[in-house]
Amino acid sequence: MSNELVFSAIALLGIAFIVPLLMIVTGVLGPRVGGKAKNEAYESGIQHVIGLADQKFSVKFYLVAILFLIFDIEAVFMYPWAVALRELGWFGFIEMVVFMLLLLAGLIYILKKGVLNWR
Amino acid sequence: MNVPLPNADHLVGIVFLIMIGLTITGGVIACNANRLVRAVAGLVVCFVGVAGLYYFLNSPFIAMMQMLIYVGAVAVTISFAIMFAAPEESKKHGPPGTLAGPFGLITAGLLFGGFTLLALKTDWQVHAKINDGSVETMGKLLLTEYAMVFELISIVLLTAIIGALIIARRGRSS
Amino acid sequence: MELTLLNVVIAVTIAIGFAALNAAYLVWAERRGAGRIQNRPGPNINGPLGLLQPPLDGIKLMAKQLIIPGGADKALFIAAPVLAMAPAIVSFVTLPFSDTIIAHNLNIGVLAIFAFASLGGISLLFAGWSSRNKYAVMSSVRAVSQAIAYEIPMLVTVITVVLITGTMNLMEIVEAQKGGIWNWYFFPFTSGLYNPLMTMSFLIFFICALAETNRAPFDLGEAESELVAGFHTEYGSMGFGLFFMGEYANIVIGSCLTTLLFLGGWDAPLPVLSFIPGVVWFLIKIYLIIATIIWIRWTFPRTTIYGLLNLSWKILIPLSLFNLLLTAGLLKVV
Repeated sequence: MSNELVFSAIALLGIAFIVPLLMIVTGVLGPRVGGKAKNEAYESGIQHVIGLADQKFSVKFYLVAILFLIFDIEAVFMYPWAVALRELGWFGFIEMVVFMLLLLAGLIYILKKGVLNWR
Repeated sequence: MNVPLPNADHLVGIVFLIMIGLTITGGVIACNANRLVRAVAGLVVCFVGVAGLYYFLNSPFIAMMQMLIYVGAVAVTISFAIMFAAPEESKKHGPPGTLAGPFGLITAGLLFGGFTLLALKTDWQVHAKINDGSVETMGKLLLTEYAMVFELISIVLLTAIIGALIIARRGRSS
Repeated sequence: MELTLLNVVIAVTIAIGFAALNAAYLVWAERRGAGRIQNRPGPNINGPLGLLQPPLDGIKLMAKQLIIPGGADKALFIAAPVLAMAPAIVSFVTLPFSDTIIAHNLNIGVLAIFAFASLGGISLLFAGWSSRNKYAVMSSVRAVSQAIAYEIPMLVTVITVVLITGTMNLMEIVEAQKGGIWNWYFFPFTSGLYNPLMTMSFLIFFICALAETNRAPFDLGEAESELVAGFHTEYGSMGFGLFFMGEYANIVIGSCLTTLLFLGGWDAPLPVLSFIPGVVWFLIKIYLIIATIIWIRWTFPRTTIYGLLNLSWKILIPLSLFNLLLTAGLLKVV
């Protein structure tokens, strides 16, 4: 078993133990007073007039999330390429150019369609 | 003071088991939660568990990809979709039909039996190390041997971009 | 170095201690700096120069009640702050501070830090969503879409550095920049490669680092003039404390990464000065960057959420992609 894994195991266990400890300490030390008004959500003094926490958002936020997903995958694929570029020669470079231009075309298409035009 | 790591292998084994536990618990929470927030949280726990499994199986790059793409992007996309589409939370479905229970049990039993059979019947071969599994080797293979796959990925992603755009535009017109 | 239990425990303890200490005293530095910029004293009562303020604040936070609002999802509400702080500490374990001071040298160090950062991003979503407060929900959606928008140019820009060095190991990246200020990647003129594009990479990276850590002028997540206090509106006591510490820990991580990737890490600016240990240089560099970040916060007004998203999607992402292509081409030609 490699040392790296052993180290990671100990570090993860330690951190998973210590950080929640802070929350537990505050739960033990802090007072526990309840009350209807105290437990209400903070709405700047206005009680549930303008709408609850459930509200609809612009669909653009969702679109941004999907676009992020796509570009995230793209970026992660570029890392192995970047590490190996020196040994790949021109063929590897041109492959990546094609890969990137395709996605760049997608981005430009989206920008031209004006979907990301926020008010 | 040079205390060697006590039972280091066991410790890694325990953390590996914890990761398996996280994966299964996360999956169960994601399926059974009443509140949508909890379901997404269960999904995140499951993803983190899977990333941990990859890491402790000696492929840290895949583990980090799992974290970046699944926890960072897929979970966010799913939660945005839920938040935007269905604000009225925890709307319970009616009681499941009488057949749901037995059918579920039968399906689960069949699947379990099938997989067990498959696992027992397969002639497992332990491969010698194919390559060193480093990112550099991965990059080289990706752009030489699997170049076609690599370029197809970009087309799939382009299609996804256009698909996302169509969804968004339909959302606006309605 | 032989791996012993003692070494591991010491390394992890130092990482946690460094994160906590920095988080605490950066709050002090920020408040003092803000005071100086706004021509007021800032915290100066407790201890000399107000230096006792952070520990007292910590004790106060711990002794307060963690109020869980009635509609909130209790388990997630408590888990979210932990999820915000823990990944930051895990990142600290993988950061090298000098050629000898490193807890855990990971071969894919750069990517690991981004991976943990994405876990921190989702904690904001849980914080806002589980507290069932209108402002918190709005703020968490904003904060997350901001974080995801700026993660792409950041990831793409870092690839330029990986291209030049051919490795994702942070220590090797610093080793490649050794030999004085003219070899650092923010403007390398010698080191066998004249590449003015790296300055652009550095700028893009720094802007993204500001946005990723939710810092002004990009602190739309907690725009207090619109959203009360953002995603931690409902949090009191240590719940708030952990979010706060997480934010400052992320700032430190951001400046560490900037230093390691573009400013030569622990390399002395002039080879003559290399008798001073590397850690000192490294700390000087990260604190200079942090000072700049604080200075920027109190100098520039907040942008709008739309302006923020447009900046990323319309300018930074295409720019970073072109930058990467040109850098790769340059590397191939030279």
